[in-house]
Amino acid sequence: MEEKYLFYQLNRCTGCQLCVMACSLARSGVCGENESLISILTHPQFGTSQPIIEETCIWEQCDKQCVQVCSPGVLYLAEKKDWGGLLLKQHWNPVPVFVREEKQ
Amino acid sequence: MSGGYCNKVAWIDLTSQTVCIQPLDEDLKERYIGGRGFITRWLMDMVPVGVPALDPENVLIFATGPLTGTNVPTSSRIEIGALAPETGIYSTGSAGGSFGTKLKRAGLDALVINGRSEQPVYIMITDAGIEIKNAACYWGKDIFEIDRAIKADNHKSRLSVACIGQAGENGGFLTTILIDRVRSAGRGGLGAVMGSKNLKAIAVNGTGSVPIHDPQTFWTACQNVQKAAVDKFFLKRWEAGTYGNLTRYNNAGALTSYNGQKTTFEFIDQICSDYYNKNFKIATRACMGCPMPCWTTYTIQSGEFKGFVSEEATATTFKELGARCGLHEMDAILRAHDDLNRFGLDTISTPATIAFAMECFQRGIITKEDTGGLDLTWGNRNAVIPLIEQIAMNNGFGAQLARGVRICAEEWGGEAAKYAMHVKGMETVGTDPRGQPSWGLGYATSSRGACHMRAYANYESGSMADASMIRISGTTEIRNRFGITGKGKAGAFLEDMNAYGDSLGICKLMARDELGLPEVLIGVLNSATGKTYSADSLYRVGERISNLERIANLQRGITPADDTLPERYLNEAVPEGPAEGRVCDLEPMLKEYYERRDWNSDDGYPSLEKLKAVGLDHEGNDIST
Repeated sequence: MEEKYLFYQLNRCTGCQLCVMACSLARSGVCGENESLISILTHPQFGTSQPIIEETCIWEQCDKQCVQVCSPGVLYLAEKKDWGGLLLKQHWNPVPVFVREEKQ
Repeated sequence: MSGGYCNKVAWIDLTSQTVCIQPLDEDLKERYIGGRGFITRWLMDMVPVGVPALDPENVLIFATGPLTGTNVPTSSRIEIGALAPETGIYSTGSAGGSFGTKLKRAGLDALVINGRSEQPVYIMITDAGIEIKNAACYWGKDIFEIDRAIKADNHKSRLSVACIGQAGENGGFLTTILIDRVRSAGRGGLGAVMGSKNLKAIAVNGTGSVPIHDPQTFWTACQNVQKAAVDKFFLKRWEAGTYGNLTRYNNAGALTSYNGQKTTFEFIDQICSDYYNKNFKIATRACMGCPMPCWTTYTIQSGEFKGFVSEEATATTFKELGARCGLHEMDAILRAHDDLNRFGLDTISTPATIAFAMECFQRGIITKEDTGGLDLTWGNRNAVIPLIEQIAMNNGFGAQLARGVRICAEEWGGEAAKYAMHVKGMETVGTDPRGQPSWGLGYATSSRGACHMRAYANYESGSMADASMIRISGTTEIRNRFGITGKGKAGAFLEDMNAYGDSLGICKLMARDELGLPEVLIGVLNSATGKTYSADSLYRVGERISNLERIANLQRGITPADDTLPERYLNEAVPEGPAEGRVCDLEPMLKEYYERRDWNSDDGYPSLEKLKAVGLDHEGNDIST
């Protein structure tokens, strides 16, 4: 399995959440947020947004539906050979990862 | 399985403070789809003719469509409707943001709200259910304050809040309902309807999901629509939202300036997209589920309002407060626009009413004695900004303007009516039909008064392909911008297209052109819901809604004589610019429209054949007998 990580472009995310719904539909066949491995953090006042992914996203294979629906081109699923180049660029960042706690 | 719908409606009676959740009627879904269709049907069934708009018996409805909250591009829409106080007829309007999606995720398709609470209340909707809560401490707060206060008091920053500002509380007719602070719907005074029910806000944050009938087919269908939408709109919107169109209107001689005394604006360079982007814009933002972001955040970094930060600037911002009121200082325009949102005022009708007052002031119909000392000279920021607050607070000269141009013109008398730019009581938007004739027809026939978004015809500026328009209108003449032939047929078709679009839960900024055609949308609709609409049957739903709205209007006293335009557009030739010498030649377009609709030009009623064809012959019998 080839290692790939999701990168995002700073200050271009519009907060539309189409990536969230794309992941949800691909994984669970419904449109929502709980089923999605990607979430969008949005500032309640300024609307600035950025993606964050659940740990599982790193291990699962998919057709990168989130990247397909991102119209401003915020998201990029990078292969190993691209990591160094992207990390050197200030406007590209690896999408942060969080661990979802088991639901009570 | 079926999908798209949650199959639940919340019936909320504010008089008895009770909530009843009932299943969504299958026949209603089939015949009216959702959103605007549901609202029109429910208003017909629930609000008897003769009930005043601000009476507890009026019903305020929030309705999603089967595509709301799904992967279909732009599908976060919520439709809001009620009988409107400004016009005395129904008004329904669509808003984006995230309210519609979060309502669906809470498992509800619609909220139907009647009665009147004795005390101010707000409604809280979560996965756990619906609660009617005390809002006494929120009464008197503006939109931004209430949005923050409800989130803070409930410790939920992800709530989506639909609310009214002080203007709605005070019962003004130039009021709307605001969602997520700056997304607005409900022209015609629906803010006042909500206020009359003592309902300050509705807050929602469902975290569930919307079921989809056939996810794989649905995904492919969504991708097809999305690719077409992004190819056509993304770059344009990303760079200049909807306000990029301002220069186009100006260049076409269709930008209402000085209340329509001119149709170009000499200060266009100071209110255009380039100037705004360079000096004020921070970033481009999108509503939930939209790949074509069209609104922006901005800041003012010099002058009187230095340090000011806010959100949303659209074509309307610059057209209405700018050219229409002769205001050409961008900082004042942005601050005034923010005030409109903050107080919960209609960002079209309020500036339109101020511009009307300015022209009456120019002509001596009113003087400083009438305005409480305000100098209503064109472009005077020191009059526009205080006047907005007066209109919202229903005091001073603003208390008169708060009822819109029609009532002001009646009270001021003389020639004032000549300068009152409204149809059926609702103010026109700042696109001048003498430079864009199809908009003139749209204002005249719109079912809620002079709303440009019922037909939303943009083909005259090349937004819809010639081939589609020739097919719709049946003539190659439709390519002639200042032509007349074919525009009646086109207007009727586009109204029906927007009627089902508003019922599906998608945004007009995508669906007003090719992407709204029924053959484009049945793929996403059928794969989401499991239904089997054809292009014809989907179109028929739109036609059914248009005809039902027509019947509702006729029952409330609208006649063919009301399907007209302000006198200026019909008789006063444009004095300068690209549309110089032109008036709006409405009559032949209207005649073709009536024939296409199969409406009687004497009494305005749809023929029985037409009513049978759209399945409304029962309503037809009620009328004719």
